[in-house]
Order: sequence, then C-alpha cells, then structure tokens
Amino acid sequence: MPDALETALLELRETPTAEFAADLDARVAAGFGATPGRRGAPPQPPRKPKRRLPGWLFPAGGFAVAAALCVLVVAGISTSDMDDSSGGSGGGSAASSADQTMEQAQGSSGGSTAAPSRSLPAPSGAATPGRNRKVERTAALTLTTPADEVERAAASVSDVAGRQGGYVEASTVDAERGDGSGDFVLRIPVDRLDAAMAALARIGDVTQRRQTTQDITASFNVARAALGEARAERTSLLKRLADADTDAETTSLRARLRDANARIGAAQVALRQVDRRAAYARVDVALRAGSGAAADADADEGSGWGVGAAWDDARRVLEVAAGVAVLALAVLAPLALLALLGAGGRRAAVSRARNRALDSA
Amino acid sequence: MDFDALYRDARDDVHAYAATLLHDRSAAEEVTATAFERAYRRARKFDPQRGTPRTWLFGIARNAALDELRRRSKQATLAAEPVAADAAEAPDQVAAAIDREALRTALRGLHARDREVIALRYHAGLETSEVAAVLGVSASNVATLLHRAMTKLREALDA
Repeated sequence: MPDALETALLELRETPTAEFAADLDARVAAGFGATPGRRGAPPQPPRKPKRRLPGWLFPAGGFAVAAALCVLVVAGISTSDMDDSSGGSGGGSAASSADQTMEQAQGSSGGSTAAPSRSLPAPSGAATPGRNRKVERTAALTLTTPADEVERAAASVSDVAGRQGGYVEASTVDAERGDGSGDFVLRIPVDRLDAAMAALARIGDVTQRRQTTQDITASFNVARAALGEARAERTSLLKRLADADTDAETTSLRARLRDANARIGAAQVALRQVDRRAAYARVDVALRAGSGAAADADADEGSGWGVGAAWDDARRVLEVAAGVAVLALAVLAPLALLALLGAGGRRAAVSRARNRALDSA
Repeated sequence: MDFDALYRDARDDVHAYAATLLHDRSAAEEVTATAFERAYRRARKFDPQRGTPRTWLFGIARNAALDELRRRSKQATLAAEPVAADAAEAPDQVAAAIDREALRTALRGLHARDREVIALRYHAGLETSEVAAVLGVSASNVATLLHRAMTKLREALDA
C-alpha cells in the first residue's frame, strides 16, 4: 500500500502533451524518416542518409594492409637469408698456425654448365678478417658470349680491372672465326673485389663462379720473422765487425754480412709477396664463345618440367601462402586486440562521462 | 521484439522519467524522441537474454537523458518550464497544488542520482528488479538507494 508521499509522487507524474504525443506517433509510424524540431519550430527535412562505407571495407582494408606488411617482412627475411648464404665465407677465423682455406662455389657444381645468367648475385666474398690477419682472396669466373663478341668482351675485362684499381697480370685471347676464347689473370684490390665481380658478370653469361678465401697469416708471420732474424744477425755481425782485431776475422765477418744482407733482401721480397697476396685478389676470368650455349642448355632442360616439378612448385606456393597467413595472423591479432581495447576504452570513457554528468547535475 | 507494442506501452513512462530527471518539459520531449529513435534503429540488436524490452529501452532512455545532462553542463543552465497552478481551483485543490509544488521543488532539490531512482520507480513505473537492470546494480542496492532518496525527500519537505 503506497504511503502519502508515494501517492503524491505518483500524482506528480508528468504526461506528454497531446501535440508532442501526436508528433512522436507520426514519427514512429514513419520509421523516424523526418527529424522534428523543438516544439514550435518547423520540422526539419529528413536527414540525408549518411554515406556509410560498406561494412566489408574495413576488414578488407585491414587485411590488405596486413598482407602487404607480411609480403614486405617475407621479402626482407628472404633477402637476408640470401645474403647470409651467399656471403660470409672467410678465412679470417680463429687463429691457428696453419693457413685456412674456405671455398665458395657459385653457379655450378662439378664443372657442369649451370643455367646461365647475366646477373648472378655477387657474393659478398670473404668475411672481414680480424685485426692482424692476412687473408688471400681468389675468384674464378667463366663467361660465355657470342663468338663475334669475344674480342669486345676481352677488352671489357681489361677495362674492369683498370677501373677497379687493379691490373691484368696475364691474358690470352684467341679470337677465331666462329669461335673464340680468352683467359685472364686479374689482380684486383680486395676491397674492390665484389664490385669487380659484379662488373665482370655483366660482360657475358656467367656459367661458373667460384671464390676462395685463404688465411695466409702464418705465411706472413714466417716471412716477417725471417726478415727480423736476418736483420738481427746483420746487427750482430756489424757489432762484431767493429770489434774485429785481425784481417782474417774481418774478412770472415764481411762474407757473413753479405750473406745476411742477401737473406734480408730475400725475406723482404717474400714479405712483400705475402702482403701483395693479401692486398690484391687474384681473379681468373675465362671467356668462352657461347652463342647458342644458353639456348642449348635451355633446350636440354626445357622438357624437364613435369608433374614432379609442378608438385614441387605447388608445395612451395602452399608453404609461402601458409607462411603469409601465419604472419598475417601475427600482425592482425594484436591489431584486433588493440581495436577491441580501444573500443572498450571508448565505451568506458563515455560511461564515465555520463556518470560525471549525473553527479554534477 | 514488437517495437510498436513497446512504444505504445512505454511512451508516457519514458517521458515521465525524463521530465522528472531533467525537470524540463522541452528537454524531456527531446530525450523521449531520441530514446525511441535510437531504440528503433537498434531494435535488431536487442538480446532477450540480457533483459526485457522495457529495461533495454530505459537503458537507452537513461543514456539519452545523461547525454542531455552532459550537454547542459557545457552550456548555461536552461531554465525549467514551471508548471503554473490553475487560478480557478477550489481552496482544497489550491492547497493540494501547493503541496504538489512543494514536492516538485523538493524533488528538484535532490541530487540527480536520487531523483533518477525515484523517477524510474514511481514515474516510469519500473519494478525494483527492472530499476536494478537499468542502473546496472543489484535489486537490494536499488532498495537502499530508493529508501535513501525518499528519506531525503521527506526531510526536504519537512524543512
């Protein structure tokens, strides 16, 4: 049973005016097609429907962005993998008294002709040797060119050596009609080796490529030690010569001094040679007339693509697609979580603002 | 959900709630229209597992009313439209009008939270459980809030 206050409250209940009720009834019946103004003001024209973007646009756009990011990431990873596998050979590894050799073959195996390419990626070559290490780098390149371009290619090889600050140590060019060949031994400064290899690869089709790195620190140390010993002996002999009392002793010491000087000279030459081996890379370039060689290679291998190769290709495509999907999920999941958190945060903020309005009213 | 039936059933209740909370007839009409328009556009999203159509509607109406309060707080305070007493009323009726005016004044003097719970319970006609659903609190909490609001109202009337 309501008490007096409750009854009074119920009597205080305000009812809408007839005019407002009629207006609202009409709007509801029309599905809220027109927006009424405040009482007394003319009703406003129906609001133009907001141009809403299609609902699928945002997820599609987000997926497109995520897919693009994944492609970039995969490309970046693939590039770095390629760099890691193509470079990094180095003889400048842990010290040992023996010289160490590491070989790196590119483009072919067992001497067979590989698929020719004008622009095989140049390997990065030897790893930077550690301090005080001496590393000798050598490379070998086989290029094929049309028979009528052998001479031109030979000239280009010499040009490359000169442009890279090196020189042609030896060369043999045999340009016969319908055939031709050239063999070169180039010396290229080691810091320009990669650039030289890249420039040489542009001269013809690279059918074989090899790079070798050898740690020659031991040889260098031996040559330097020999020089040091020879010099020390000469110093000692000079002192003894200064103190010689007899002619016989003097003659003997002078003869030994001559030997010591000869050994010093030889040791200096040996040391310079080791130094030069480390400072200049040896590049063996073989030019071969290959008109049709590339086409022959293609013809030999052209019929090889069959079901097996197709299966391998399809598997690779699926692997890449799966990888992209995983990466997309890795990118999308945090974004979706952030979006949810953002939406939730916004709702919470609006709720807090409403409560504040209630408290301050 | 039958929106038309909900509208017919709840139109006057929503208006009464808004008028008591905002003590402004014009604002109450605006809030009522806004509430029903929002409900109309969201009718497909109504989830019966989360409450009855009435509590869902009053949740929308409450937000619309609070948005009006927020809007007001950023502008100058609007003067409420006073309800004039009828001059031709008989003495008994005049005395009752004064009582109503005193009650109306006391109601306006309450804190908005107290006024709101009274509006939902007595002017919107919601049961305690429904008020609890609209406010997002427990039914026992609503009973406590209502008791405090009525006590303050009595104190204001006695003052």
